[in-house]
Amino acid sequence: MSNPRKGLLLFGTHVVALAVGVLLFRPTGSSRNTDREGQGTGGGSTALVAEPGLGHGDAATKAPARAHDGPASSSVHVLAWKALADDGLNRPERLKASAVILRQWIKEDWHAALDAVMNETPDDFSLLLGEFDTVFADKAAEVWPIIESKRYGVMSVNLRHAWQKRLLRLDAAELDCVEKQLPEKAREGLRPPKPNAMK
Amino acid sequence: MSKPLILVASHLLCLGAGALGIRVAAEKDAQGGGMASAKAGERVEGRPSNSAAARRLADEALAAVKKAPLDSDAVNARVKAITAEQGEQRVRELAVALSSLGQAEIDEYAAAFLAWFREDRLSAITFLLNGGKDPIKQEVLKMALAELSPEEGLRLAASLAIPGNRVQVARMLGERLGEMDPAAVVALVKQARSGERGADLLRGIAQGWPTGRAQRYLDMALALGDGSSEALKVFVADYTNPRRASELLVVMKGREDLPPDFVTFLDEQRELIGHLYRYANPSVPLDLRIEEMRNLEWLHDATPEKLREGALKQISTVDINELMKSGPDYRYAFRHGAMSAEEVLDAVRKTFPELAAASDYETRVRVYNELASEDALAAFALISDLPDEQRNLAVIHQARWSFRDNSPETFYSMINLAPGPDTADAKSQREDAWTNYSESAYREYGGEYVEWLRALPAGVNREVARSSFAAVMREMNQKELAEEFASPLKSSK
Repeated sequence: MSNPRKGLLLFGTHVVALAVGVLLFRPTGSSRNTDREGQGTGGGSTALVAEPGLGHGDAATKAPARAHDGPASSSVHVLAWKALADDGLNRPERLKASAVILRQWIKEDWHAALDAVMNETPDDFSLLLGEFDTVFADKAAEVWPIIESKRYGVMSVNLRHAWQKRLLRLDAAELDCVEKQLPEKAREGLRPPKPNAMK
Repeated sequence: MSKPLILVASHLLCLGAGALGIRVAAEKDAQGGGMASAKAGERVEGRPSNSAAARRLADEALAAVKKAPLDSDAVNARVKAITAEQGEQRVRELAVALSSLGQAEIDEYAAAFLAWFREDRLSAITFLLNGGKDPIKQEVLKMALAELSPEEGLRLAASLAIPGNRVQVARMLGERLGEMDPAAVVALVKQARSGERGADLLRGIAQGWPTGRAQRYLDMALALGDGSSEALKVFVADYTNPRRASELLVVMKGREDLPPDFVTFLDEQRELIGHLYRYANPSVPLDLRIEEMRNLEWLHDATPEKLREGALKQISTVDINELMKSGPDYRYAFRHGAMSAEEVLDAVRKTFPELAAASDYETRVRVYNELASEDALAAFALISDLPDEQRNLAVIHQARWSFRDNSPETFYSMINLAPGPDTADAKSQREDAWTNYSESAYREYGGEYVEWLRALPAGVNREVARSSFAAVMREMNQKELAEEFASPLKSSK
């Protein structure tokens, strides 16, 4: 082998060795995924909703991807939310503490906060949804697609009721303004119900 | 070194360099990416800073829970600077959006109210009580009444025009009277009863009397003379607080000095007595509760074994449900993985050792009942070792008698833990469970429930769910739905 060719060959085999080193010791995709799943935010918010073992997990797994695809911002809130389970509070106290965390969470990422609340049991979320009053009124047109997508399975009905209840407390001018932003289907129930409306 | 060895070493060196390079890059990526994520608000669980921030937030929430709703120092400091007129005006302004006030405004509201109340008690308190209920109002009212002697408070209560308001104010005073010397209270209550509105005041005092002070109430009531019987009746017949009412029954046991007409009243109220012992405070001896539950008509002629079995079933249900509602939030701990079902069961056993010793089966099944709506499968571990028939019945019974609103998925996940085949008893209980659930679910979820029902997987629950729903629809005159769900499905899904 002539020297230039030999040099080229040696260079090539060393490059291959370098590449093998890179390939063998690269961080694996699965370990990254594990980290992300652990976050419980972003994609994790969906993971939170679909958390196996929860009573209504079935509905959640059928739900479409979360409406909000922006950067997740709530892992601290998720951890704080779960931390209350370790604090030995009685139920009324725990609900109050949940509401305190929720108020801050809603300001930073109301979508993730809503996922967390709707992932609790009906006797919990029926009390905690009141914290979303401002969101329901100010972002009515953003809330509607979440309801319509049945993100929370059958319990999206509960969300709709809470949302409607808040909107019905608006004065006539405010409600008119909100209704203009909503599709026809979303406006059902925002006016006095007609007799025998449920079929 | 020989040439081949040098070549092997240099290749290994390159391989190592590749590995090192990629690791360094990965670490940088993790650090940089982490910072970028942090900038975007994204956090990684397990990172110390993240856990610490979460702990801080949880601690803030805990502090807010423990904090008194009103800062009495801040309120009192403000009151001095407000005239009664200014106070009234500000109370009327702030009352419009009371539930959305921040802490400073709440303190301001309380101070304004006190300024008004000190000048014109009746107008201020009437405005407060007539304007709808709010937890803040209760706190403000408590603060205002604390400025009055019990006698002044009762006089104020008597002057209120609406009976419900009189009872409400007397209830708040009752809490204080229960802590006072009974002899001193007797004079106050005698005076309060003497007016034409005395019955409302007495009812309020009885309702507000603190738990654990039944002996004081009995002493006070027996010293009232001709009012004794009425005072005892209003306490015992308070269905809103059977636990406290049962305390009075316990301290009265064996007393020979009870007013004769009250004794007659008790003799005629056997169902009430059975009811009160069913809901009695768990500190009341279990055997006494069981014995007194024989007063209930359905247990009246039961054999001792059947009495014990039936009573333990109800006592365990009531006590454990009450613990879940007002004790440590075990359901939340279980839901979020902080406690396993067995750990919750152990905690319940420690809380009710007498019950756990009397029937581990009932204790276990009741804890399952409470936890199944959180996570049916995980809760099932508590009863999975029971014999098949007993376990199936426990599952179906639980689904039938769940205390909470459950989503259709949750209901299904619970009842589907008993997949059949059913005994005759299980079959009728399953039908009953689905009928009850269908009716409430249809009212709550309407068409969404119907859609969910259509998609149920094949099995005994689909059959029963459909036939039960058809029956419910017939009752509701929904003919099309009744027909659809009464017809057998052509192909099983």
